[in-house]
Amino acid sequence: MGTHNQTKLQYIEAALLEKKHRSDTLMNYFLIGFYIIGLLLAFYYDTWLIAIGVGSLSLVAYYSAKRLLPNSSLYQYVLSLVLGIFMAQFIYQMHGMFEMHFFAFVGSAILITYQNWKLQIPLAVFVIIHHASFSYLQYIGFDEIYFTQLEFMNLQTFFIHSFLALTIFLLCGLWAHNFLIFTYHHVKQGFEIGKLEESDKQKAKVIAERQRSKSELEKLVSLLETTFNLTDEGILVADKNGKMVLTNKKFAELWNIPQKLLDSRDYEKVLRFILDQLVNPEEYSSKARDFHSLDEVSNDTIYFKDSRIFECYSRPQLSNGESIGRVWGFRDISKQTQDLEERKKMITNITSRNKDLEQFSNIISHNLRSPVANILGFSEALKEDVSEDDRKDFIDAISVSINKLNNVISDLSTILHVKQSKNEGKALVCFSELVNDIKDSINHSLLKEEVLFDIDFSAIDELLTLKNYMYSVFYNLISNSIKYKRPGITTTINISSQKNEKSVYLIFKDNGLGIDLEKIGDQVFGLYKRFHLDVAEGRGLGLYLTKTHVESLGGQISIVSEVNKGTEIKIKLDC
Amino acid sequence: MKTPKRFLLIDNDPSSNKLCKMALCKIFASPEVFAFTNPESGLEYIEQESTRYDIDTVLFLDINMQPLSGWDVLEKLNSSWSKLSNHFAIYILSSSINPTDKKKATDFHSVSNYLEKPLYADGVRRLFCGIPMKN
Repeated sequence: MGTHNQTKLQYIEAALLEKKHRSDTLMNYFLIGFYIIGLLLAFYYDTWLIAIGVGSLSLVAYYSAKRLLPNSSLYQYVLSLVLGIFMAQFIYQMHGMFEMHFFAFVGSAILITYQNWKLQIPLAVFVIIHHASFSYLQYIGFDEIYFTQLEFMNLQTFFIHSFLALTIFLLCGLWAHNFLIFTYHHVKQGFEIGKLEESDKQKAKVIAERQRSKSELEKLVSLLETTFNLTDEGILVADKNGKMVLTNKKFAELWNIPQKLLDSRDYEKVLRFILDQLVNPEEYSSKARDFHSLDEVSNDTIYFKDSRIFECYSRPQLSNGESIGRVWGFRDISKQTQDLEERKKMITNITSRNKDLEQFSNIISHNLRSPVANILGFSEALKEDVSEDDRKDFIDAISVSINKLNNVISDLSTILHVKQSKNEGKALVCFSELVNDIKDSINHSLLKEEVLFDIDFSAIDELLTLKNYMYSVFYNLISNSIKYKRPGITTTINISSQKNEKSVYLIFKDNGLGIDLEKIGDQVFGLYKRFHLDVAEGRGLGLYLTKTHVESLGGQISIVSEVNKGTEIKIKLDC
Repeated sequence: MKTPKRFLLIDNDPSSNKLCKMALCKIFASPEVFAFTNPESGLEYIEQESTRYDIDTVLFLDINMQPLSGWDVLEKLNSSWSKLSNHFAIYILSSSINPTDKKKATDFHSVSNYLEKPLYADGVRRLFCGIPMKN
């Protein structure tokens, strides 16, 4: 408020100063005019000395006062006096011509412009002194004194004269004062109007600014909206009161939400519609209703009944550090997940192939190279002089090695054949028939050994599969059970089948020697891995081939075994 | 160098052991050779005969064996190697020509060298006559 008053005062002062300057400029003309009038009047009675001398002194007095004290109003009082002096000069120059007295009134009127009644005082005082002294001097007969041309002037006339003059001075003073008050109000109003205009301008500026930010905002909103609807993610924003604040097109699309339901903006209803589509709705229901948790981001994978998979993440919508709602984003990752699964499968496949290759490389460097090394060694020995007995021994050794070599080559051929012959046609294979066939083919050894078969294919006896693979699997497992039987007890072989929605299980169980799996580890299905070296038969091929066959059929094989208790092998195949 | 007094052969292939013995006999006059076709009994022998550690011994060890591979034997010898090392040298004698096997052999500081089968008399001579035994 203080600043406001100060500005107002400054404004008024500036306005008054401007007025003063205007009046001062006018005074310059008036004074020059008076000086010229003095010169003109000098023609009548040849009063050049008076016109130039008194006029010049007056001007010098005025301008020096103004120059010396420009900020004081003293020069204005000097002006008042100077105007009186000019009147007296003109009266004298025209030898008391009555009309010259009117210059007192002219001066008085001129002074109004300064709007200061006090300026009338020096003029009035001068006029009174001048009239009184000059009229007295003239009437006592003083020469060279001119006051009036009247021969006779009584006291009454003098008083009337003085009264009228004073009236003029008073009125002029009054008008000057009134003008000052008026000017003051005027200036004040001007200031207020200026203020108003200023504030109007400012208001207009604010409005323009507001308009601009509004259009900026609209642009931003349209940008956000476009982005919002373009994104591949379904977005849902809901507030604490269970109202859906915002959803994008993708959201409705992903969840198949009908427009009517969407328009209802009822979060609870939409939520129920959404949860209905999920495999485990309970898992998400409380989470979806949690508007208070300030958890930064939650990230879930949600599974649909129709086997789609979404990735869902959400974060609270914060306002002043408080949760006022929650934002959810949904992304269909079914394809991605599927791709990932496939990639995983592929990697497993490739890894297993790589393992096969390693195994092959191992076979080449050991199982093939080993008999070759022997053949080289013994044939070299034969070159030298050796006894007949040694020669025979060496040739026998070479023969053994060549047989080994032959075996390895035929094994490799079998294995490669399994790995290549995937495309043969599938046929319905009957498990019980298969077991009977195998029993017949190894009847010879069964006669030798007492073996009890306990067969139960009641759950499932037939499967569409590759017969030669199934034959190989059954043959190897049954013959293993016989080969590695425990001496002294009756060997029993249990073979049974199980079935569920997706898979068929074949279980082979014996009471044989068993394998120390802890010691052997993952080598149990390895090629040329043997675990019963004291049993003459066996090359370490059976379980390897079984596993290869099962896996070629897309199945899995697992083993449980305990030394001197028996072995159980479980095969899982797709229906 | 000291001439080795005793040779141990661990290889589950008897023919290979026989060839090895023949080569040794050609260089050394009636060498002391112990052949094991079961790596476990070979290990057992080494551990039981600890009192005779001071006899300079050379072990020819095959890789591809069951139930213990040559690598398994080396692992098991690792703990007692500090006691053995003064009088013991181990050579891998394998049919494998696979570089991975050769590289793996260098990972065992107890292994003096990797030899490919078959071992000829020339090879034995190169190993023990003129070229010092590595310790």
